[in-house]
Amino acid sequence: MRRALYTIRLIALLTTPAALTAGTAAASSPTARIAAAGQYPGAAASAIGQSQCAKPLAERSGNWLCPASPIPASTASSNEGYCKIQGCWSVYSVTKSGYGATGYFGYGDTQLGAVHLYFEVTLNGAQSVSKPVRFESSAAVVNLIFEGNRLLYTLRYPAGTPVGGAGNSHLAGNIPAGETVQWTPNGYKAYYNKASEQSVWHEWSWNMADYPGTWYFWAKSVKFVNVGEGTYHFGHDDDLGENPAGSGYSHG
Amino acid sequence: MGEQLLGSPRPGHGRVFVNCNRQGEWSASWQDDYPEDEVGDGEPDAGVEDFEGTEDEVTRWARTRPAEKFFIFSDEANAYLPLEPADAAELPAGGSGTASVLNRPSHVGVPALQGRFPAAENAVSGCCRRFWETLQSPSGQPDVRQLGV
Repeated sequence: MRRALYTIRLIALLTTPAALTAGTAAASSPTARIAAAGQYPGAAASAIGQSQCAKPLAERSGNWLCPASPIPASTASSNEGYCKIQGCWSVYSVTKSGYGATGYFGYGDTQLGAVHLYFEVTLNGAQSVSKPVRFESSAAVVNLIFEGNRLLYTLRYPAGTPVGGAGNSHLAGNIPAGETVQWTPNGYKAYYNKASEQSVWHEWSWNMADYPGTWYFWAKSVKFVNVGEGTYHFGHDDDLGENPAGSGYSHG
Repeated sequence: MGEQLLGSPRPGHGRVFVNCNRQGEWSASWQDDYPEDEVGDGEPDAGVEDFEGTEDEVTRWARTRPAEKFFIFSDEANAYLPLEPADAAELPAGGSGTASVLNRPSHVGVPALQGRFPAAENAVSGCCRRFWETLQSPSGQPDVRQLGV
């Protein structure tokens, strides 16, 4: 499924008419996006739009979303966890772990806003409970969708592959600037105990009222492993699968 | 796409886990994996029942499930510990029969990662402190005999 989704996104990119320019396209339908929600895009989809991030703002074109999570000067003394530009992963105990990130998004030479993303996973036996799953943007966004899925890891899937039937999503709707919202009422839950190594994947996606395309940011939790008696424990905060976070945009 | 397809736990089977998140919210989950030879195509292969509430509500709910094993997570021990049996008054009608299926295990999993989580060791989250205090020995140190370590 992962390859198929990537192919769909790639085809969409190649076939989207050039007429999709700023100010001409309304935000895409959340119904269509919800129908496709929970579909883990996989590692390969992480680079869409990221080529713009290396360019000066004035030279950028189209949609872009650039992760810019602050990295502590000294990781040795930091309580921030394991940090990369894509975010910080923390393990608070063998059953509690969190992820937080900051990113900037825009269109062409206009930076539209900054987003702050966060989720926390609590393990209860073989059940994962993601709560809170949060989003905050400095600019008003529309059609915000939270998605979640459970991933399992094998030698064949070092970046993880979705657990069938475990995906879910939540349409948070239109979010005013500066307002912190979360997946209500109880976040995302999933139960699976047939793989020894797993994680939880979350994606945030949103539109802007006067711009085309959908911006998205996704991340996987720290991996957790089966320790017996139907119980899973988080590893260290740098026990991440391949491609643990990504961001970009789609024309959907 | 919606909630995961799961059934109901079978009385006398499965494990009940109690935990609290970093926001101090308590929850319990009764999880029962069905025997593979009893699961048909398209049918759920496990039964899960959840409950959320205050510490008292959640532990009472957990203790009154007719499950096989019972655990509660301790942030300070960084491991699941046995959830002690309820008082007889807390058990539902016919409680003695329910209590007969209680099988108290030692703690689950080896806390091999203990020592790697200074935040967990130095600051017992409020939601788990009360439970932890019940395990303190007169000396103030954890009574490790109760932890099965």
